[in-house]
Amino acid sequence: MHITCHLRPIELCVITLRVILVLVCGLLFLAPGIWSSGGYATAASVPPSPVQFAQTIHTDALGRQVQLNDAPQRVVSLVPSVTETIYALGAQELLVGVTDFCNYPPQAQDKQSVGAYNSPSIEAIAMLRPDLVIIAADMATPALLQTLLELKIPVYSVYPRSLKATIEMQRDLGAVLGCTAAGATLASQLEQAIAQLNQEVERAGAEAAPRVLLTIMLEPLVIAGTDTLPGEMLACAGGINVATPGSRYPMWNMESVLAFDPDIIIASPHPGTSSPRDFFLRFKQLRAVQQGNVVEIPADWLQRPGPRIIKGLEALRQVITDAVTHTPEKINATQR
Amino acid sequence: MRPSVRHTYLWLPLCLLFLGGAVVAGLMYGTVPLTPSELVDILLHPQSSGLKSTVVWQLRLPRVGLAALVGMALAVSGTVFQAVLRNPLADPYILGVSGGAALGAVLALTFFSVQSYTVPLLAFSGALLALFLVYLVARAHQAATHTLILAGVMVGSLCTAVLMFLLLYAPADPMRNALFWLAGNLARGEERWLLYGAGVCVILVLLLWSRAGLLDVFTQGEDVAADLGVDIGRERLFLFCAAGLLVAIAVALAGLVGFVGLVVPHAIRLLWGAGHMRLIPAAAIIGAGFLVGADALARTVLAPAEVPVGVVTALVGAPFFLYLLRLRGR
Repeated sequence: MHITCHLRPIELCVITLRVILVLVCGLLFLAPGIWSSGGYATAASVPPSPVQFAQTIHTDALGRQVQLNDAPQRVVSLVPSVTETIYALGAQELLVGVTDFCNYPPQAQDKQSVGAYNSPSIEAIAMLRPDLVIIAADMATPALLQTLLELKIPVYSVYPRSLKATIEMQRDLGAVLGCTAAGATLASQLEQAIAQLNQEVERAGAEAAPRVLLTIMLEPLVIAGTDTLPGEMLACAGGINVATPGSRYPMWNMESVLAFDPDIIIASPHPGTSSPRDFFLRFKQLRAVQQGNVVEIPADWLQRPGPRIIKGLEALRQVITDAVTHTPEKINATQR
Repeated sequence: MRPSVRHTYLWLPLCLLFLGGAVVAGLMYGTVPLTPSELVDILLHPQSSGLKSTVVWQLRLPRVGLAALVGMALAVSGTVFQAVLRNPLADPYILGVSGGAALGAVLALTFFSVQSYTVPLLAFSGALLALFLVYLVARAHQAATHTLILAGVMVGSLCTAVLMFLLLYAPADPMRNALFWLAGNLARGEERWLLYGAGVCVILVLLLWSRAGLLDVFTQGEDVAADLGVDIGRERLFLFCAAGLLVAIAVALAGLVGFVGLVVPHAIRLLWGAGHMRLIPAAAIIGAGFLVGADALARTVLAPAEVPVGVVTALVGAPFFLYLLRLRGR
């Protein structure tokens, strides 16, 4: 069996042209917005600030030594959690650019967007004339860093993948953005919340710790292991993760859920998928279903390493204490 | 290939043995360990409750059924596309079906409400629409097979381009769901859908089997077919519709599961020759068994976690196929 192409070059050209034509028409039809990029014009016309600021060297999450203005005036955040943190620091006036995924607080969506989290537009960033771009370390490809540096745009990377790193990030962002005190306050709020939880959990004792399944998405069933931010938060709130110790985000199936039969199932509703409750209620023999412990907590409270982590920790603790106080004897009886 | 193997009637019992073994493995292995006697006991007492019974009856059986159905549909449609297009690289998704289905699924996930049937339904429609588009183009060109393939690739690219464009606008969650959906998933066997799908698929496979002789003629080339008095346009339309429908059903039920439709037909040709009278039923049975077995492996190796089934099909299938190629090369 062979494939041989009998098309004459002219036919091939015609076909190719038609395809291109169809593609272009499709683009024109679908996205009238992309030719009217008026939003960038004002940003581009802002002259560079003549004021010279004092500069300090910071070490970022990639271990780079970054020389930054002590008071940056035009900041682009390429990380949703950083955007949230900047608002929590009260430094939102400095923020000139965000990503499409920076949806909290709601007013962040009014800022100029430079594209998606994983594929920001360098031109859009450049046109905003930022004096600081904050990027997630795992999104900072060498090519992107190089390009931004060639454009003389300072880049600061963050990598908050744990509670400790989140606290440090809040403190560091305060220092980088010239609001050190606010950063320290934000960081110590989270530290205090964690310390308080630790005390509470210690008072409650280890035998009151229910076994918890933390789901990230349902179809397929992806769960948060122990070696993740939500997993760490769960441990902090006094729950025992049913996932294999050391795991990150394994894909599970219902059979595994039935086999491990957790006391509590925590799910985050996502648009476009079946509701977590309906998904698990199909299995009446699950202990969490029988005892009404299939609970929804917003994904961003658990998965975004920003100021709302505290809400996530409190919600987790609440779920756990509720489960223990409503059905204490059952949970204690099922410890393995 | 040694003719002695090819011309025996051993192929049918061998195929059935393979499928049977895969089904038993699919029912026995997983996060919850089962012994053979436990499995027999559970299967003989469908009314009993308890963890193991639930696991077998509510989870593993639908999943094994779905894997078998999808494996059969993909292997048979792959066989037909390879014969009609006379191209060894043809797989069930070659005529833009995957692109169309993906686009439909992403549309459903991005713009429609939370309903369990919107995604399969739109994926199904997308796949059929892509096939229809390809066939429109092909008819207009009084198509040779390579025109069909080119049209398929182009329609597929077009769908992918539109899909990428949509994903730029889609919020994070639907996008993530869509990407996972595209990777293929055998976990959501809804029994009602499964039964309808199985009914239609079996009818389509039997219909295609009844055209085995015709497929043999197509393999010789369309000129030969025309000389033999075959109405090529009409027959090809029929074969396309039947095979396309099979793929569309498979995609709607399980997303895009790779490798089965490409490799199973070739493996069977290498083992038992290219006659479609034997090739189609063998592809149906081996395809079903292969995907059931691969899924059992995918659920077991990292239990309680699982591996995407597409990884296993390629990881197990590719070396075996290379071995067969080497065997024939001697």
